[in-house]
Order: sequence, then C-alpha cells, then structure tokens
Amino acid sequence: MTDSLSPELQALLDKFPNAAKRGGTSKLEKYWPLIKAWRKRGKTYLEMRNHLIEAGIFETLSTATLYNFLKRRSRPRKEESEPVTESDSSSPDHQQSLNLRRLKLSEEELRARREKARASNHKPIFEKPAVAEDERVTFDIGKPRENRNLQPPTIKKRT
Amino acid sequence: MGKAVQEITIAPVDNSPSARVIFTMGGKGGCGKSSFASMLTEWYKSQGIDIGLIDMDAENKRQGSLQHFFREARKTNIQRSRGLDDFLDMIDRGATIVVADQGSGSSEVSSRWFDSVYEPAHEAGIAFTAIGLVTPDPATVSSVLAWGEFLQRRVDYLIVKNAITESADFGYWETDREAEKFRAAFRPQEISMEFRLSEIENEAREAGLTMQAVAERRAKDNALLSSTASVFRAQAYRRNIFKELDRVKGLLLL
Repeated sequence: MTDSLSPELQALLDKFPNAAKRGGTSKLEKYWPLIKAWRKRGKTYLEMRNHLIEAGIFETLSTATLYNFLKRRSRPRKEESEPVTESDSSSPDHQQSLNLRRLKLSEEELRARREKARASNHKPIFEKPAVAEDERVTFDIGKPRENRNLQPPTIKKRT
Repeated sequence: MGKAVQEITIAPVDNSPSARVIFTMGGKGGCGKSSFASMLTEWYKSQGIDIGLIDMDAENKRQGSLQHFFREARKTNIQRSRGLDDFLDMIDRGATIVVADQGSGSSEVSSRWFDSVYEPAHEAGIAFTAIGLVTPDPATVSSVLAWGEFLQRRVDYLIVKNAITESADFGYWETDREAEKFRAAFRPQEISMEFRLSEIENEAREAGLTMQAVAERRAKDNALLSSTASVFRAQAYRRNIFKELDRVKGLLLL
C-alpha cells in the first residue's frame, strides 16, 4: 500500500525521481571487443593482462580484475530493468492466496496439486542446442543420404 | 587496481578481417563449381572490387576452367610444393579478396595445406569462406559433409543450390539428417543458382565467355549467343544470381 504524498513531498519526488545509477563503468569497458576477441582465440587471462600492460594501456592490471570484468560483461544485458510492481496485500488475489494457505484440501486435491507442481518442475526451461559450440562435429558420411521429399512412385491402372 | 595511462593506441577493435579467401569446396565433379566461381567473379567486377583469382582445377585443361573465362586467373598446381601458398602470395601483393576454384578430388592436398596455414592466417586476420555446391545428386551433399567435418568452424559456409534441371529437388540437402546436423552446427548461408539452359551454357563455355559477356552482347560472332533470346536469358541469369549474392555479401566481402 502506498501512502499519499503531500504536495511538497510530491514536488520533491518529481524533482529527483530516480536513484543515481550505482557503480561506475569499468576501465576495461572500452577494451571489451578486444578482450572478447582474445578470449575467442583462446588467450588466457594472464596473457591478456600481459598484452594490455605491454601495449602501455595499463601500468598494472590483475588477472582477477579481468576475470571479474569478463564474467560480468558476458552476462546478457537487459535494455531496461523490469518495473517493480508493488504487491498490494489488500488485493483480492492476495487475499485469496492467504485463504488458500489456511484451506484444508482433500487428498485428491493435494495429489493433483503435487502432480501439477512436479510436471512444471520437469518442463525444460532452455532448449538444448543441437551441437555445442566447442564440440567437434562429425557426420555419418558413409550412410546413404535420405530425401524425405521423395514419394513412392504411383502406378496408374489401365482402364 | 591499475591506472589507465593511455588512451587506446592499439586496438580500437575492428573485428572485420584484413583479407578473405573464398574457395569452392572440391569434391564431386560437374556440380557447377567453376560456373559459380565465374559468376562470383563477375559479381565482384560489377561491384568494382579487384580480386585475386586462382584456378586450382588441374583436370579442367581448357573449357570451363576459371582461367578459360578470366585470363588473369592464376593456374596453380596444388601438387607442387608451395603451390597453395599462391593464396598468401596474392594477399601479400595487396589483394584483399582471393577467389579460388578447386578441382574435384583436390580434398586431400588442400586439407593438408589448410591445416598448416590456418592458425597463422587466422591470427593475421585472414577469413575464409568455403563454398559448397549442392545439386539434386546426393553425392554433392556427402561431399559438403566431408569438407565440413574437416573444416569445422574455421570457415564461414556458403551453400549454393545449383538447379541443374528445370524442377530440381534439393531434398537430399534439405531433409537428410546429417545435412540438418551440418546446418545446425555451422549455420551456413544458402543461395540458389537457377536452372540455366544447357545449350547456352555449354556454348558460352566452349567460347570462353561468361554469362556477363553474353548478357552484354559481346558474343557477336556466335549466332546462338548473340540472339536476343540468349542475351535476355543471360541477363536474367545474371540479375538473379547477383541478387542472391547481394543477400550474402557479408560472407564475400571484408
């Protein structure tokens, strides 16, 4: 539940609506494409660190910094954070969920609920890629190729 | 924590390659490798891009070989030691794009060479595009799979579906389970090369003329090729294949 704001407080809220963004940009940020390219080519953190120091970009740089940066930067980035919805305990849905907790369920209802929960737990969340990116791909070349477009030929009956 | 002492001096990173080697995957003969290579060369010319041309087709002595269409194409004997280094020599001399037409049955030698030069070439920023020609013949699909098994993810793949008959069925490429696996693993781009009348194509090959030359009415001495019907057809072939190549130019340019 939200308390209503006085006009003075509302004016202040309008003036400074959002919190300042926390955390600065990493000093490694502008080298991200380079670091990413090096990683793709199999460079170790130590090698990348040494390259960056040798190139005179940094005086000192720890491999841990590189590691943390890469780990954080490799995560998928959200364009905008989801708006936070406030839960309203007075809403009918909330009340209903509270009532359900107190509700005594029959054996069948309980079983049905458990089955449903189990089923949803076993749903695959991510589709497994057909072939992992780093896996060597092999083909059964000796096997006859198949053409599933081909239909068995039909024989016309003579009339 | 280190202190940044210098603005970027080395790598405002440019991920685009410094040069690109485009080669037809050898293998099954007669699947249209040289025809496609000549169309591709014409496409580069139409874009005003200078390319290095290598004709590795030892069996194609005259008619139909890349050198037969383009005099500037360098004939390379892949059996000669260092023969395949012609690719790199061309890049050294300033070519940013090299197109090579491999002959059928060149797989073993070229694969050995590729293995030996891939790492340093990749480090030097040279990218590779492998072109696979498939026809309704299942053997062409097997050939692409064999090359894919060897090349793995070291190259970009372009698959050209070459319609050698009027109603060509590419079912062996489109529905075979191993081919599906190839597509899932290597994500090749695919284009189509439409059916071309064999009379026109064979006559042009015999005369050492490309479809572009026929389309531009440069076959004045040849009754068949200079006919309006042939010219219009050649213009249509050229227009359609260029449209397809425009679609995948990311694999053909830097």
